[in-house]
Amino acid sequence: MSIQRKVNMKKWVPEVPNTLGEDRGEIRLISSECPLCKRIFFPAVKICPDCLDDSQPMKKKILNNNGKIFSFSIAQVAPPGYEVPHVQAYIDLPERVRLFTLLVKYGDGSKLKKGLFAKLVIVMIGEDKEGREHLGYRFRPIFEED
Amino acid sequence: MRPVYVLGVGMTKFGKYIERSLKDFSFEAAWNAIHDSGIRAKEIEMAFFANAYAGLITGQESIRGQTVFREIGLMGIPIFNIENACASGSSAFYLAHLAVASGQVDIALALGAEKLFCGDLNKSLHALSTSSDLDIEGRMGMLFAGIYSMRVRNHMEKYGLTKEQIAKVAVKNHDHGALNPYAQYRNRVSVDEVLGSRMIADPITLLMTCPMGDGAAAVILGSEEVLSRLNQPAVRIASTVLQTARISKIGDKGIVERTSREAYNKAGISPKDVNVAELHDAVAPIELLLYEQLGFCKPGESGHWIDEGVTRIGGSLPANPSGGLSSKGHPAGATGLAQITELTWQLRGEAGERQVKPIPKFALAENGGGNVAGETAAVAIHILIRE
Repeated sequence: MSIQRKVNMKKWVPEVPNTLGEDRGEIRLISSECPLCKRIFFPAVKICPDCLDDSQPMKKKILNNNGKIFSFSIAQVAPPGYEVPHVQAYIDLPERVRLFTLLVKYGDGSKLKKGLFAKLVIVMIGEDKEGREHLGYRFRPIFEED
Repeated sequence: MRPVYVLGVGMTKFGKYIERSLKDFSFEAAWNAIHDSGIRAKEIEMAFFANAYAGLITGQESIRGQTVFREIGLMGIPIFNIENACASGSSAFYLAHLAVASGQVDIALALGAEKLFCGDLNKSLHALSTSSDLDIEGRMGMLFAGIYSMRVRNHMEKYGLTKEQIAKVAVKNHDHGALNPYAQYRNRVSVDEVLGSRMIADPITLLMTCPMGDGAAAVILGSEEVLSRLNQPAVRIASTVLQTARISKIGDKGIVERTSREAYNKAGISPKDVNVAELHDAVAPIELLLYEQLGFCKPGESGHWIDEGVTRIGGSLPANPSGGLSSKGHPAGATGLAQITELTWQLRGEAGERQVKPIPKFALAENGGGNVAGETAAVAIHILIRE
């Protein structure tokens, strides 16, 4: 898995459906805004679960790349297929979205704490049989000395 | 909707049984409940079979209940397969209640069974991991231990709860399990042993988690008219509520709060009327958050409660007298019904060494399962009353 931000010319799909989009040559987090109540949902949704009104489509909205760590967990045990240790976290974005993610470049974990800023990182998971790259989103904590 | 009563309950001792099958546990629990009730098995008109993971563990899909009831001997009647992850048992109970309350049938059986232990830990862990949304959080590797550790640590930071306090819940539950012949773990543990056990996801250690295990539990529900011809104390269902996760806004009330408020309203009681509770301690420290979300105590007060022993047998609101998931065990499909079984014994005065005294009047069961958008996917709360 390599860490990159800008999209190259290959076709790509997001690891998790309805989470990533292109904006001016960059891969960004995408969300949906309800035209009626203005609430923002990530991942993007087809319909607002609060309003349940399909008369107008949801608006696509690009989310901020930077947020704050709301909570995190250093997992020492995991089901098959997941490496240990790894760090799960919830990140709060300025759009009042709280999203689940995995952290990268967190050192040994001892400096992690609630409230740290964190930046979006786009990662390449791998290529599929059709030659499309699978891209995922992670967050990198910004420590004081960075 | 008419009043519904618990006619009979039964369960198996939970544990790791490589040589026993799902059908085997189910037979034992169902016939224990039938004998306990005093009805004839032929009188059961409808059955709900709760199971979450047999499809992945044994390969049996789509007609699990029908195959299990074949062994039990109950065939021909309407049988439904109920799956709501670790809340499957409670969901089956909710539907059995609905079947009798609505007048559709006079006697219904809810049976939950699980075989999580199969000798291949990876298979069991994989099965459990399918209780998140596989497209979204599941794809990213969300794990229950991670979710619980985040909730517990945030709560500790917000209210000053200590590691010792969160460990005390596991100690209490093991003390209760030691008195329960049906519990998987009957050993007592100390705070130091709990904190010193293997770290799973800080601050959750191994001795705070519930074991992988097998077992079954069954509850038979019936109308007032059926109860009147049985020699059974009257345990009535005051309310039974099931809700689903929402995509909560920051600051919204969580699913346990929402579900419990509805349950108290429907039963016409408040949290302080509850005399005994069986709660879903998937990891023991979560119990502290549950005391607050259920309205038993104020936010942040749960640490004080566990220090003072309020929720021990002998305290003013015993929680998990059975030992809870952490000590009694958690065969997922059976758990919700094992909670009702324990509470029924408590309300009847039949709980042996675990008996809460004086005999409780109102009992509350809280059972949750799965995770969607960061919230427990399904939560069921039932309130029972001794009449």
